[in-house]
Amino acid sequence: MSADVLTGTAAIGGEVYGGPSLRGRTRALLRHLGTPVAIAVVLGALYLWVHGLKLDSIEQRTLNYTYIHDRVIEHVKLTVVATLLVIVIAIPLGVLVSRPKARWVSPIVLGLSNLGQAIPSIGLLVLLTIKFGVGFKIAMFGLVAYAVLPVLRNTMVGIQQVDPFLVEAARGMGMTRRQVLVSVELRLAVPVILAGLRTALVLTVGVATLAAFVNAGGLGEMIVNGIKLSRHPVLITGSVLTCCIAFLVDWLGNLVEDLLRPRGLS
Amino acid sequence: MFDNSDGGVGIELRELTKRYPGQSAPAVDNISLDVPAGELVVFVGPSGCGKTTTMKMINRLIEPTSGSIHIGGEDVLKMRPDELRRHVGYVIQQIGLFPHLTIAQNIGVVPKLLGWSKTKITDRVDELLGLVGLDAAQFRSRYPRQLSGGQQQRVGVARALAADPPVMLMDEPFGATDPITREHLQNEFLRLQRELRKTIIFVTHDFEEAIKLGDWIAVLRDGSHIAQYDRPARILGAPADDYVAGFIGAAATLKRLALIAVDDARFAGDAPVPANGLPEIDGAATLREALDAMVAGGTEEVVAVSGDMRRLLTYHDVCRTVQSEGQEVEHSVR
Repeated sequence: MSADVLTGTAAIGGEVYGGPSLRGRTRALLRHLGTPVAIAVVLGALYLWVHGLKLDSIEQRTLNYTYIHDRVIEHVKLTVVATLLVIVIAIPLGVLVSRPKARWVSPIVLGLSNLGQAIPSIGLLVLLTIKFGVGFKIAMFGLVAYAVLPVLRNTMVGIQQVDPFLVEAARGMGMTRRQVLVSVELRLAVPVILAGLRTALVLTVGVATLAAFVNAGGLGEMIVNGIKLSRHPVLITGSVLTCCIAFLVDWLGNLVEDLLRPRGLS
Repeated sequence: MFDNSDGGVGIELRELTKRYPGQSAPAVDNISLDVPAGELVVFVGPSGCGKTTTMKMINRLIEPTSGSIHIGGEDVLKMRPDELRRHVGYVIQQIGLFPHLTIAQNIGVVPKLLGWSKTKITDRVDELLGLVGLDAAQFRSRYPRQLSGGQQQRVGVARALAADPPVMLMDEPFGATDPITREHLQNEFLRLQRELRKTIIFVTHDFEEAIKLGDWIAVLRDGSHIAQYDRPARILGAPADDYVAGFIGAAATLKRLALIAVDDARFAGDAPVPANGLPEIDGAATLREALDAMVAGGTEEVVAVSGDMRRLLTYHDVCRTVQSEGQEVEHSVR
């Protein structure tokens, strides 16, 4: 009896079981610290480089604090609002589709999801613009349409991969369907749902650069201007800032995943 | 929910049938059976014979097509299924411990559903962990994946017992463990059941397990038809037909010997014997073990020791006992 007690990840000397070991925690900390440090270094280098350049009047109009600040805010706003909408739409829909009675819908959703990823986002935006005009809402529509599918798919898959015997055990103990969904299925699907959300977020940061084409602002404006006017510092600043936001968002997503992953899961 | 005051409730199945749409033969065909209060009935039969389906109709994880189920005289089909299940213990082979909950939280699921207070749940969890032989201080805040398979199934049993249900349904609970762990779990479970006297339906395809654990055995064939429903010793001694005999397999008599305690053997003489170099065997051991001792010692006699009493048990005593047991069956090793 006492010999097999110490299997699993049981820590040394009666520590709290289930928590990551000290070494694991240090490693996690280093991993979490790496990204912000790298982003800070890249941003610092970018600043020093642009600072050392002789900017002409066109470049000065974009490469200043106010302009960049506004574009970054616009970009983050596009991303955040789109993500919130995606959460509100995709997760409940994913839950609905994963219900036993709606299981037949899941191959259709998976198909649509793959198709959606294959459609070039710029094409979608252009089509929407021709039909509905330009602006924040149109850009939002395109972003959400693009990011909804990975989250929907992961919610569905996350719930479906929950061991059916766990659901049976839960039902057998007298949990209602709602209780099984909330305290078993969704809890266990959290890591998969969050992974989908993280993918969608990073995608959105990238796709949001295309919002410039429908006059919704964002860092895409700098990139487009930089290309059109052949001003490489502008183009590069816009691109690097977009990348930094994407990495930052990915880092935040990772942090949230680690925080919300149910303890007890390996 | 069930009136448990007189020490247990019985289960009555009447003409219970489950028919799945699109299948010509019913999965469970018109089974009627009584499970006496406080006793353990084993459903044994090959895979797909409908034994699990029959069991799952009792807690309504599967809704019957027709027929009735009464637990302690109450009509199960008139109850709210969720409420019913909170009062019927349920153990499955896959155990189904929730990986994201600690052992204590897993055991506390049903009490929590029933709205018990936190302190009452904590006390009950510790009590149950002790009952299934796990140290509460050591195990309560662990997660399931940190436990071995055998330990997990103990927790599974503790979880089913949490709200002290009078009735338990167990679906091959020890089927996925290795033989040594299984034997361990079976022995502990028997000890527990002797103490708790729950009314239990236990599904297995392992006939040895059925003999060992069952107060009664229902041998089922396709469609959950009862081939024979009787005491284990009776089924071994007088199988109803070739199907049952086939299920028992070879060495039925040896299996019967394992059901009889040495103390209950028909001793030819009661004269106390002094220590004389013969192998000695405890009175609580089975005749099968006594026979084993004889063969191992190359003798036809052993000394049965029960308390201060030392009696001579001969090979002929063993034979006579098992032959007479065929007529008046007593399930004595419990």
